[in-house]
Amino acid sequence: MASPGVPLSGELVKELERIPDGEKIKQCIQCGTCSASCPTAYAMDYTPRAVIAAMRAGQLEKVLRSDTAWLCASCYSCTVRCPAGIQFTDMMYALKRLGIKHGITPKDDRGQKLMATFVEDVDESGRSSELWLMAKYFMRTGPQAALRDAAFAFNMWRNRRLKLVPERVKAAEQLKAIKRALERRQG
Amino acid sequence: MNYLFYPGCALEASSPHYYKSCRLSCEKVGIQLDELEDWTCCGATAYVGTDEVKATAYSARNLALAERAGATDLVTACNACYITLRKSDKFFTNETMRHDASEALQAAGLAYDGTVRVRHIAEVLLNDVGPARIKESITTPLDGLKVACYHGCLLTRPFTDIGDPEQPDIMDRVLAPTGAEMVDFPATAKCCGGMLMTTRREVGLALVYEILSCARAMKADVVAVACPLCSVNLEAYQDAIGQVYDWDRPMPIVLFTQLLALAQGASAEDVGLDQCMIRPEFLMERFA
Ligand code: SF4
Ligand code: SF4
Repeated sequence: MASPGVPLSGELVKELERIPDGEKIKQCIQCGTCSASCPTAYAMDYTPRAVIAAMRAGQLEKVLRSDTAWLCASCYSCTVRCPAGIQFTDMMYALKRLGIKHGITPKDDRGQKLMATFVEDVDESGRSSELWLMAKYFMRTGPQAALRDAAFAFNMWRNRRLKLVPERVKAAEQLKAIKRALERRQG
Repeated sequence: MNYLFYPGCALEASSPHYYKSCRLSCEKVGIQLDELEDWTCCGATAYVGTDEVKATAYSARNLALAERAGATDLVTACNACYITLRKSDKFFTNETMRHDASEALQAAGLAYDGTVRVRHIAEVLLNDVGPARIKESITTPLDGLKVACYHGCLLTRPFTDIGDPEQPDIMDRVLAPTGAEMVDFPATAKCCGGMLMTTRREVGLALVYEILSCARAMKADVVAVACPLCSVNLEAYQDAIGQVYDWDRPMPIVLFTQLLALAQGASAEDVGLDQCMIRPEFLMERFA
């Protein structure tokens, strides 16, 4: 379950150590360039700059309960503009992982659900398939969105851009071996 | 010249017209694309959000296969595959990550030494082939056509070595020899919203509307893209955009390789113009 805020921040910093330039997060000068460059900051509870402030204040759990990380479109505008060379997009990814690891559900969990579905798909077959991804995702989020996107699926199909049988590669076995090796290591 | 090619799930499944036109336009300039055997999903922008070591290992599996095949370059046509594979390659420079991911790869009998250069087909056409040779391949110029080249975010971010992160002109320079006019397009590297189009529709629609209305304001006839994911986001939701914003004249979205191949003498059918969700009727007539 969720640990108190300060260990969460420590854990995040440790996570970032695996990433080239991840340690630069300590050098944030709170200039706000990231927030100003972010196309979705307006919809986030914590802007990118505020995420780092919250981390420093040991308030990460609040950030994880908000939708913030799941509103990140992964566009890397913040990353290329940050004067301190901080890989902020990777920080958003790290937040997503941290939330999942500690069982913290954001107030809008659709992003989490879509990602979980995607991961299952790839784990299973080695490929992702738009149709199955959507179908499973809608089963998890309710029929409303499915109806909304029926037109989308029809349009894709009509233009011969939908594969009805998901691809499954022989390499799926290799992926399973990779997955097992990692699970063993993590105990 | 032969290049090892990584199609990726989206190109293979939802954008056969992109794959087809890629091959066609490359052939015309003497490039053959050999598909990497037994490739797996790169993990896109989603996988790394659950487990970064696994994400790196999965995606580096493709790099390991390319390395084993003796390739120096692995070429992709999808912005998301491009950046995901390139990031995995970069992550191998971090010692802890390399150690952990290598251990996992080993379980599948593979190893990655970090010798593969991940490249995007647009950049290969610009830098390895070059405008002069592209020009020589043009037989039916696209005179009079106004094109807005949409690069999207990931082609030049976070890796800025192949073009400007805010105003890249890679596609513009590849397509200029076709005789079409490349309009100024300030929104060229604005984000299309990626997965937000599915998880947070209203946010995604706002982003795409901004891009499309910029193209319209610049008087473009079509928007050319270099990514199967950008392509779907820009074309599939224009009806939905019309329900929220002032948008009643849909904008056709084409792959940049479709335009290139048309100018190299291919027909509308050859390049799969009929697979565009918003059909560029004027091009279909012209190149029937
Ligand atoms: S742009 Fe960089 S230094 Fe400035 S607030 Fe954002 S992360 Fe911190
Ligand atoms: S990568 Fe995420 S946080 Fe950074 S600017 Fe883009 S959407 Fe905002």
